[in-house]
Amino acid sequence: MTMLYYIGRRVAAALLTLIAVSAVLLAASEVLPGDAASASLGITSTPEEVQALRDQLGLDRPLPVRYVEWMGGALRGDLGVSIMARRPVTEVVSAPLADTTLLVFLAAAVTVPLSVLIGVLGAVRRGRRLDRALTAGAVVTVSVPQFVMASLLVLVFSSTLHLLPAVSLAPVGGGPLDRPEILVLPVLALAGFATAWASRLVRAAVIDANAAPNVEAARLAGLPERVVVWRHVLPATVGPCVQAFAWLISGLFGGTAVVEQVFNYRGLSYVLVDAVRNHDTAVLEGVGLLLATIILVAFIIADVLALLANPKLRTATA
Amino acid sequence: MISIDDLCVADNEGRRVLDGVHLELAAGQRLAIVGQTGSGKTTLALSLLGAVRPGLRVVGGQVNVARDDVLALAPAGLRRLRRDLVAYVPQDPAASLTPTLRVYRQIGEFAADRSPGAVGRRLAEVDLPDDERFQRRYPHQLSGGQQRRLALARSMARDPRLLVLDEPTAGLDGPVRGRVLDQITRLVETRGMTLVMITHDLHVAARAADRILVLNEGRVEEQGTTSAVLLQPEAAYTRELLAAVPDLSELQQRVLVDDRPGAAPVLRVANLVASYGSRAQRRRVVDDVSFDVAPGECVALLGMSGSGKTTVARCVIGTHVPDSGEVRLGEQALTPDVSRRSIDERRRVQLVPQDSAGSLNPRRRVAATITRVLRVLRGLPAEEAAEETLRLLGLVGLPARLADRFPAELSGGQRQRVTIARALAAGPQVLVCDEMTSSLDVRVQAAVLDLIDGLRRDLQLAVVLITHDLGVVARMADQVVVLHEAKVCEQGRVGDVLGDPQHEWTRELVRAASVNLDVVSRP
Repeated sequence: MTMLYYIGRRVAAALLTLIAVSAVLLAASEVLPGDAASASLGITSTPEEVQALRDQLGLDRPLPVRYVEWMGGALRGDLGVSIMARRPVTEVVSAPLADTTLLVFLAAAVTVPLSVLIGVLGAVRRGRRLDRALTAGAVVTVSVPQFVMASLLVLVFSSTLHLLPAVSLAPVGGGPLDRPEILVLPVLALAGFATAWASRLVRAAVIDANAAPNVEAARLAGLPERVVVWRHVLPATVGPCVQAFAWLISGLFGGTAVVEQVFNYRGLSYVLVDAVRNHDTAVLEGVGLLLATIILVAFIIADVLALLANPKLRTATA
Repeated sequence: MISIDDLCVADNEGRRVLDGVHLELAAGQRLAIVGQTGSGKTTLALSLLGAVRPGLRVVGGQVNVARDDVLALAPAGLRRLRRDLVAYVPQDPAASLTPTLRVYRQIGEFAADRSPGAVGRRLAEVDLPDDERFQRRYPHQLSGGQQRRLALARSMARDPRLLVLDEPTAGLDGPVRGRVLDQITRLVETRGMTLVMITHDLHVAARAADRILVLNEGRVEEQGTTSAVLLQPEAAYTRELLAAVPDLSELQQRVLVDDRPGAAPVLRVANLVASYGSRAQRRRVVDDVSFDVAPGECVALLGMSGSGKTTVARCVIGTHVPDSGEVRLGEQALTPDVSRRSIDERRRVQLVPQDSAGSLNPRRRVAATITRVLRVLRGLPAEEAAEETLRLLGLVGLPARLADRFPAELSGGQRQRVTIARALAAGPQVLVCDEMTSSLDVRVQAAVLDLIDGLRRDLQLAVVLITHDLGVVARMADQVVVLHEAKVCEQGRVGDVLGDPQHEWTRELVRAASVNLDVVSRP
């Protein structure tokens, strides 16, 4: 009962956040210099032509009216029409969004188990040689800018070893899954940084849980170390870790912007760069809203998982 | 069973936490290790399990439990010792229960006996329900007392031969404390176990142990049978400890001040009613409480936790708005809400809180804490305030060099003195002391109580003393108001109430408190 109430509150808060995000998105595209009409017609157009297109697109109507109209459409799954492509935004965006999301989820699938493994190992061996090596590795990885990391991967795995393609172009008429090898280097470039970051958080959470009085009591009761770690330490770290992983999803989406450009992976970043250049506000707003939704869903899932891992919250009644 | 020889433990700076401790204990004996905070009690107890807290190391000596040289055991041997021989229940038993494990797992994890119904029998042994539903609960679904008993049952599940309890009665008072001790004694006796119990409370030691070891700054001051240590203490330190424990017998030694005729009360609390919670769950926590306090008089509000005594204090200082009733200061009625009281009204009623660490701003030095009160409530100019601050520190017995310290750099007793100085800085007429000594050691507690007692005589302060400790009441109070479940069950002069209690609850309190040092005369 209470759990449904709790989840309901999270969803409601997420919806409010989405409304705020949408308002900011619309306001931001409003203050970009120039407008879609003049951008799409090019510098040779006359002011009359521009005005005609503005009228056609409804760009002269007041902002609140356009906002309500846009939100109404968004609720029905209609994000408007791209001015440059002259096609619905959903159609323009869907394939690149799917490709970018694929990249992010593959990177997360590598990062989550790896960072748990590294974090737990580091915490259990705290202060020993292994922990110090892992810490040093993490600090170096986090400090290297992502485009440098990506370039290094290209240098090693394609230019020198010739194992993997340096350019991640999907075959014409197909998706990246038709040539899975093009995904390896972008995923590695994303996951390297993310693993370094997330493993630090996991390590801190485990160290925290390890210092709890119940863990000391378990050790003083003569339980084997394996049982102490699995049964008494790790359950307490699930909550903080899944929260960290939700942040990770959001960070990974940000990371794709650089990685896609380095590897020529035709994902969202290309759509966005084009849209900014062309004042294609409908696309910008649509992509912004979709990304915000995905990230908020990730956070809600993390909240629910954290809730399930905590008997105190799970069993709470009214 | 236990033989400790010249055990020395030092911290990272080389300071000795334990210094040449010798201890012999035969199987079946019950030993209480008595000492103040920082005396090395827990370090000594943990050494029986071959454990040393981080930052400490053993620098010499030997610990033998049964036939094992504990400090020389390899990890596997150590685990076997802790699993089969020695069980330890830490100071906060509730915190020692892993929150994600259900009751049956908490017990079953250790149980030597894996037959069906074994877990239930273990639970029944400590008077916990043994049915299926209870066994499927999580620790947070139990009451504090049940958690405590579950932790005990958990540690007993392996049938250890030696049970080590760290402050088994911490945070308990009155009759509850007695019941917990009786249960422990019964279990230990029926199983023929050896018991080592850490406590700072001599009453607890007297009640549950047959031997006492007095520890002071890592050294053994004295050890022997309970009656020998308590009745003919050899070490000066033990005598000091005994003298510092406030107990009922002090009533007889005190010259009680009679009612002061003519002294008009400075604080009058009349028909106070207060509640907590919103509409449906609103619960009355103070129900029709009235009392007067004259200048120089000390009125004690006595009650167990949950009896409403702190809420009365909050109504007096204005941090809780009562449903009805009034608080009068001198002639005028005080506005219930402190934020609507005038500066002068606030100045005249001051609080000495229970948690001195929490009530002092950790980023403000001692002098700044006190000076601020002088400037804000008394409006003193900076220079005068600085002088007055030093005078106040002297008044509460703090050396002037502490003025530049932060609260974290002070001991608990020093911090409590700072909160007293801060309260005095306002130049109050009424001092409300909320369990101000409950977290202090007996000797520090005695000093703080003496300080308050002197101040109320010298400054003619009216003191409202909130406490659960009958000994403190016997030492300090002129009048006592006994609260039980929100209501006043008895009030009057301290000699009358404690000497001849009328109400059943007061009688039980007095009975629980008088089972103190005289139990040592048992055969």
